[in-house]
Amino acid sequence: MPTTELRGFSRTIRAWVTAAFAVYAVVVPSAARQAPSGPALPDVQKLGPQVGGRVPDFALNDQHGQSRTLTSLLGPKGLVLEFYRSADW
Amino acid sequence: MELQGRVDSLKRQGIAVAAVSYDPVAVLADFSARRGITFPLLSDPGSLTIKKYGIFNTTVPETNQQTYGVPFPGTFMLNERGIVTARFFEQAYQERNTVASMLARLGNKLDVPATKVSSPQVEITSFATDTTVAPGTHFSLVLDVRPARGIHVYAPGVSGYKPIALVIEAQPWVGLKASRYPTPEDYHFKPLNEHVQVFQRPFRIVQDVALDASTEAQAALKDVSSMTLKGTLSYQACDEKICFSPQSVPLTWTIAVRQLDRERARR
Repeated sequence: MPTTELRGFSRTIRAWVTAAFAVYAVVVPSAARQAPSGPALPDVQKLGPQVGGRVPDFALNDQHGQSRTLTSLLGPKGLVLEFYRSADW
Repeated sequence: MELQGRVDSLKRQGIAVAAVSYDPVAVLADFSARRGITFPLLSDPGSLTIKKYGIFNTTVPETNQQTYGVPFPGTFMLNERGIVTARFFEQAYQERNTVASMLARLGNKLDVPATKVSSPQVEITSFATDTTVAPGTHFSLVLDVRPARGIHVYAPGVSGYKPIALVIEAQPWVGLKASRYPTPEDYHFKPLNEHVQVFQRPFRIVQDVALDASTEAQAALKDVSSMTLKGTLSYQACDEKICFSPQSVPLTWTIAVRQLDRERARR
């Protein structure tokens, strides 16, 4: 089959082209973190429920004073649950 | 909050949003009214739920009345049954993954402006997950690549062909992580009895970018209102008969830069 021969033959050329065009990912190390003051920080990746685990349920009041449970908040495709420091400062 | 800007598009995808802090309801009511927050801000007095979740910040001394009780900030992505599908926590509080970036890494569609670059072999849709970033923001550049029917492109690490590669130009204060590619599939080229790793279905490349949160970076970016990231996507497309000439597609993303998030300050 001429077409496949063409492909097999051109492989050498392609390899050469590949080498000529080779590019290398530039990876810049992420910014050095500022040294924390006080006790050493734990590895936050290891804290709390991990992927595949179920998170604990809760019943908390929202900004309108209405009680919300985890179950009541879950959408048909799930929930983005953010924990943040404070809305006050 | 960055989250507020995503609530509607998440809702359309069936994903709800909620945020937890130790603040009293009155503080949350005030914040929510001022910021036009439409999703539940949950009040966790005494940080009991934060403790139950195991993310209570134990490094804050009890004597620090303002900060005691805060969590290590982060986000859980849950499925409809409350199982964690992904989690995003950073060591320093200034460093934050944007919700859009988290969603992009999970393969979700996003309502953001995108650029299309098409060739007969490959269609590339390129976007940044966020239109505005600040020092410490972790966001992503995304390429949705759609090979035409019968076309494949070569996966990173392949030899003998030109593998697909996204290279972003380095620039000050911009941290680039390694690009993420999905798992390729095996392609059997029968005439040579050759097995090679390729992509032939639509796939997503995600390039995570972190804007430096250091004091130096904040000072340097003080008067910067936007930045342009430049990159190149190179690849080689083949079908079962022909290999087309290798392509190098220049790409740019322009993103507005703002100062570090002070939006939670009341005055």
